[in-house]
Amino acid sequence: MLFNSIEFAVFLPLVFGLYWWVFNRNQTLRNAFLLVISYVFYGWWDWRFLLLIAFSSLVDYSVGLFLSKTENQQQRKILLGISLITNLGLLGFFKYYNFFIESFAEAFTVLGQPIQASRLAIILPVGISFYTFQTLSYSIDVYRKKLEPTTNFWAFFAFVSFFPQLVAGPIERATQLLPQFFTPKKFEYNTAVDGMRQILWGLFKKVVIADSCAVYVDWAFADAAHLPGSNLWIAAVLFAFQIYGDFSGYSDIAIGTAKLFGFRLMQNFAYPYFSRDIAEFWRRWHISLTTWFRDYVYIPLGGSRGNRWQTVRNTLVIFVVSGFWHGANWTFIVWGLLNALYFLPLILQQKNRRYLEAPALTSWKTPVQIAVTFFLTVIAWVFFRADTITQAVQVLHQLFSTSVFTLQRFEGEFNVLITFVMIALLLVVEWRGRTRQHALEGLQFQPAAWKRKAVYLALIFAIGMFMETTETPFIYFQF
Amino acid sequence: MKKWIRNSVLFFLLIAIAYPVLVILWGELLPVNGFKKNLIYVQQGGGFTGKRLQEVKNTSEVDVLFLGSSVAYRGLYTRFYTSKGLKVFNLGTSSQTPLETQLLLDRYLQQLQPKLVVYAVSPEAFSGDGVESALDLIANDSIQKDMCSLALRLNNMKVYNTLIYAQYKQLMGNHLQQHPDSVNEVDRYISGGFTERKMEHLNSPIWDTMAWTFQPEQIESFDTILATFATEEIPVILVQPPLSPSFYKAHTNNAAFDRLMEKRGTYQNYNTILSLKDTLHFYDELHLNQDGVELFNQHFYQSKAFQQLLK
Repeated sequence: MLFNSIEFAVFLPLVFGLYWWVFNRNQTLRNAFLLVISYVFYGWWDWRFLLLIAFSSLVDYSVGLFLSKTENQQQRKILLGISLITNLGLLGFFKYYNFFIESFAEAFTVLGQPIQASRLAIILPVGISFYTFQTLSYSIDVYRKKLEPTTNFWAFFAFVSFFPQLVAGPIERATQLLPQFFTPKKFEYNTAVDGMRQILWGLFKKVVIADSCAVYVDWAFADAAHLPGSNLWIAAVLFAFQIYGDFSGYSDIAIGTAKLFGFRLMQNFAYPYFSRDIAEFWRRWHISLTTWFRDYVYIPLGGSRGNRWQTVRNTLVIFVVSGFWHGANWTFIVWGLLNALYFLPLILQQKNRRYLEAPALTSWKTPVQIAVTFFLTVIAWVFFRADTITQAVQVLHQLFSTSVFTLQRFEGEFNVLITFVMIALLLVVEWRGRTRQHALEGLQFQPAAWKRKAVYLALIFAIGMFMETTETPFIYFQF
Repeated sequence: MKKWIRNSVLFFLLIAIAYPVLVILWGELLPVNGFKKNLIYVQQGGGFTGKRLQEVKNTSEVDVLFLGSSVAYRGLYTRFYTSKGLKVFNLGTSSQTPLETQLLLDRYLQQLQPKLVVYAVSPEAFSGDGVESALDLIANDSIQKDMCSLALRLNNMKVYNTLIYAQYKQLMGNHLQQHPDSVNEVDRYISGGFTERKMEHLNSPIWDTMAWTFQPEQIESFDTILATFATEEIPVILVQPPLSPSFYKAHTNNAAFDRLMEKRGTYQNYNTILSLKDTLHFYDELHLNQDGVELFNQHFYQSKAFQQLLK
């Protein structure tokens, strides 16, 4: 079920009502209800893959129980290994099998030993990368004794499949989310209103910004070989906002929806396009994934505590793995590598933690830094968006050629202009709200009710008047 | 919780009132159409829909009724049949899908009482969502309950916004205006519902391989239409007018469409019956130019199915 679908518009108020009026009587009933509606939400797409989530949940639930019963280090390692192999094995099979098969075949062909590789018609289960990492965090934290394993079946299964963030995050840590399934839930008016505000803003980012950008971006990348650099610059910039609007929009809707049910999810995007360097960008972009890799990959590898070579190695590893997490394509790996190259000079000079506070326009330097960082991310996004490395190189070649001085006219020019106007609106609102958890959070402190309502109405009107009318799935579903 | 429910209800009431007001103001005050991305209120339209729907209101008891999308009103040449002594009307509209055909038939079938229906079936119409055609009808025909039902079925913001605006225009008495012009830069309206394009020729383009994606709701609606004709005992010919050969051949599932139609009645696919050329008989990939139109209509008129069913 898509957040931007009519089905969800019916589903959400229905389950909201049932949750607070019928099923919030006791903890087990409530968690069982959350589990059922989460499975309905996911099964709406393809019920067969519910078995996969259930299996993954069962494995980690059992691993947790067994870990609680043994102090033998050898046995604990084996149990953790079972969790890792099961979860990463499933992820590897569904997401990467064909990639590895094809890559091996290509490699052997290059070496002059062509081999037959048989591709499998595998459907990638929606959200597998997200819930796999979420459930893995449980096993790892229980193994590290950072978290007491739960014996509560309903709570654990509901934690793994919690519908607001099931298919595209934020990837919650068990230490943060699981305890919330055990606390009594009391309806809080202000939290629910703030949830609705965040949903509204997320919806605006998705259906007005991201989907509108997608129309031009899809057209331009489909014909990239024949378009001049100027058109491709427009496409590259619009893609930066498409991916941001799409993914941060999803996160806002997810976090807002969770608030309606009395749950707190972590902030996943903290206005990344206002970052002053790449290190800051990566602290603000897809925070739940970045911190996951930091805590479960980077730090165990030694982080930046070793010598220079180890720091370089660890940085490269984390960025390449992060790129590979996004998809089984070399383009994502190069995207990761490129970001590592941006990041390395900062970490080697120990300048990666210069900007920890929200930016302020105190000098001319800040906008320049923001612009440069945005420029670097746009270049990297080209690899993320391109279908192949060849196409990405082709686009980059055009971007830095003299063809930037000629613009090819295209259908829907006015719509692109409107999209840029909407992006300007997005940036103004987000800049004003940049110190908060989400851009509209500050509205709760606006004493004049009519002003708050005017903002909501303006956003609803903008959605109605400028949204793309074909229902578009969220990009991150494919990851 | 009480406060939440009360405020939610009040807020939804506010939206229910304020949103249509804003849509109307946007439609009335904004001079630039480009900013009306999801408010597409175009009277007359590219294919003279306004003119055609005005004419149909004063037409009754025809021998042959043509239905379909632009392949109908640009392909089935009414003047040719009139010259053969037949009273015909072409009720095709831009991108008309079975969903809109159903609405038009509910409105005009009893009045037209055709002896024969020629339904120009285009695989493109069965692959469409019906939004474009609905917008065309909303802007060019009266707003009644059936139009609201259609909007709900399509569930599209463009349709809702345009419907709100058209309803307002109707209340103000300036929705359906007279359209005196029968010609524009490229098209000429011919009495009986045909739209003639000034002579142009298609440059033979190269198409990537593609496939039609037939929408189940369109097929369902199509079956309802055929059931209506069966109940009314009106014979129907399903005819697929020619598409430009290069465009037609680029589609991999033409045979599937043929099977879909053959199962449902008398069907003729003129892409396989006639041998036409992109550059001689078409002005774009979907539409015949006037040379192509005449050739197609002559063949169709002489076809056994047409002659037999007309009797």
